[in-house]
Amino acid sequence: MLGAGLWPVVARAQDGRPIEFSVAAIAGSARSRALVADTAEVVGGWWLGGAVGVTAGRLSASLTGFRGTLAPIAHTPFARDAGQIEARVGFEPLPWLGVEASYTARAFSSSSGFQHWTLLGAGVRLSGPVGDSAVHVYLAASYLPLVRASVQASGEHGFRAEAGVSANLARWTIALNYHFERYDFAGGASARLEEFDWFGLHVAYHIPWRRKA
Amino acid sequence: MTIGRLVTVVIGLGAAGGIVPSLRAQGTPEQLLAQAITMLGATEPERAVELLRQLVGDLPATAASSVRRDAQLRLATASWSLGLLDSATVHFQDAARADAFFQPDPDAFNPEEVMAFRAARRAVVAVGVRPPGDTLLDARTGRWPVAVAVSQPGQVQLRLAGLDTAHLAARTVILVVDSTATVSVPVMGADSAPIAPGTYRLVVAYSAPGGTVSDSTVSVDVAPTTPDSLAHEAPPPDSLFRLEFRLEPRSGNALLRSIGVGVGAAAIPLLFGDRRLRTWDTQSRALFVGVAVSVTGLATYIFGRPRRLLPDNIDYNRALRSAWEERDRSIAATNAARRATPMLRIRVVQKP
Repeated sequence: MLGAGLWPVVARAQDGRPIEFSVAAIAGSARSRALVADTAEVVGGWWLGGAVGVTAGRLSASLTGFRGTLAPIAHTPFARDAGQIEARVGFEPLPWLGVEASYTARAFSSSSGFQHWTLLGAGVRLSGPVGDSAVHVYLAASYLPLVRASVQASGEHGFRAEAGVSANLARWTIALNYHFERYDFAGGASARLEEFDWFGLHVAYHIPWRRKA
Repeated sequence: MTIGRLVTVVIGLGAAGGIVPSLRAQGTPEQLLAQAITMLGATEPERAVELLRQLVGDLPATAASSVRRDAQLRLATASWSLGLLDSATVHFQDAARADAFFQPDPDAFNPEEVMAFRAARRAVVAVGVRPPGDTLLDARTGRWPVAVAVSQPGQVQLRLAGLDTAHLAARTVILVVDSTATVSVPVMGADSAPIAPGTYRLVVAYSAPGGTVSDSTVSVDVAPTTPDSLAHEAPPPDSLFRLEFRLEPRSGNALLRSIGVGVGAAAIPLLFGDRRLRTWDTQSRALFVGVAVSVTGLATYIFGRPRRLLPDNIDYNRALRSAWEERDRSIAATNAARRATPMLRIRVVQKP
């Protein structure tokens, strides 16, 4: 209903603006740290992914997928196969300010079991050019009011922060960014705390699409 | 006749043949006509009449109708000037038969001659057709425009008839013509299918109160063809496009922004991570990205220049490009439609 109510405003904002599709490849290095009973279990490794997106003026949407294996680094003998799908929609009311919402489904599979995570987030993104207009930096922060993980009886909330730099070269965009997520679970003395971060190189190709007048 | 007299006659005829050059040897019909006109201008009508009589008598059947018409007209006017009015009328009639389209120019002929020509034309039954020399038509719906002239109001029938039975005749057009008309001759048969490629005759049948006459001297070659496609328009030259951005002076704020974001990236784990999970590994990754952001900002500050986009110019360029693309799409669509349309080429191979 909120979307339906906002649609006329968004449609007016889009009037006459070009539409652009993009496809991207992403390579990243991920770490997952879980603090359980004062012991930090750490796994990490490379993961690879891809993304498709569409930008219509101030409105954007993307779907990103990752896949990789996180090897044990500390206090755990289990390697995990990891996969993630994330859908994101964003709106830029100002050239330097964006608001966005995201839905993330993440899964870890290991010989010790299977974990399924569901995250819902909403946040803001600040961006701007540096030196050359083709180069932008950004900072983003999201609050994750819904964090559901199959490892816990109840999720509490989470927080996500991102920073990065991107360069546009004709139809190509190359970006380097860092993502950090923190999840706090209720549970008193046995409370679980997890952090997940990754940094990656993102190469995207943009395909403009012009609507007929 | 004695042998001696016969020899004398033969020698005499031979000598005459050698002394008087044949008409063909004197030049082409056009050259002879020009000589006759010169003689008329030099007030030598008797010699001109003699030459023109020779000319119209020896004109080959394949001679252009315009030459025949002009020769008859000149002969008529020369006869008229010599007071041979009946002879002039006959030649005016022959001129009308040679070219039913002809109407004397009042500036070139005296009024009495004009009236005499018109009266002579009305007295004969003559029809003329002028088809276009080379025509491209839609084989399914095309009609071949043929100009028709008649000397008297009457009924004209036109049709394309194949030279052999393998080629069926096209539909017949029947119409009443007062003087001149343009007739659209269909190029499809009675079954509405396009006529088969081949050679056809344009058969003209003309019925007037004064009699009937038919003509089938026009032959045409009908062949399927692919129409020429339209050439694509070259894209607008670069000189027509406007500058889309302007280089701005370097901004210290941009440098501060990049360093700030770099520091922010490096500080994320410190600010939001839990102290118990903090390791150098985690911090180094954030630090790497933070340094990369700051160094990129510094490098672009030194080597790059901010650009200020000029939206009006961008819109103008986009409109220019869109208009060209629209025209290009239109040309492509036209060419596709042309390629999909069966066409016939009708070429006149023998004129009346």
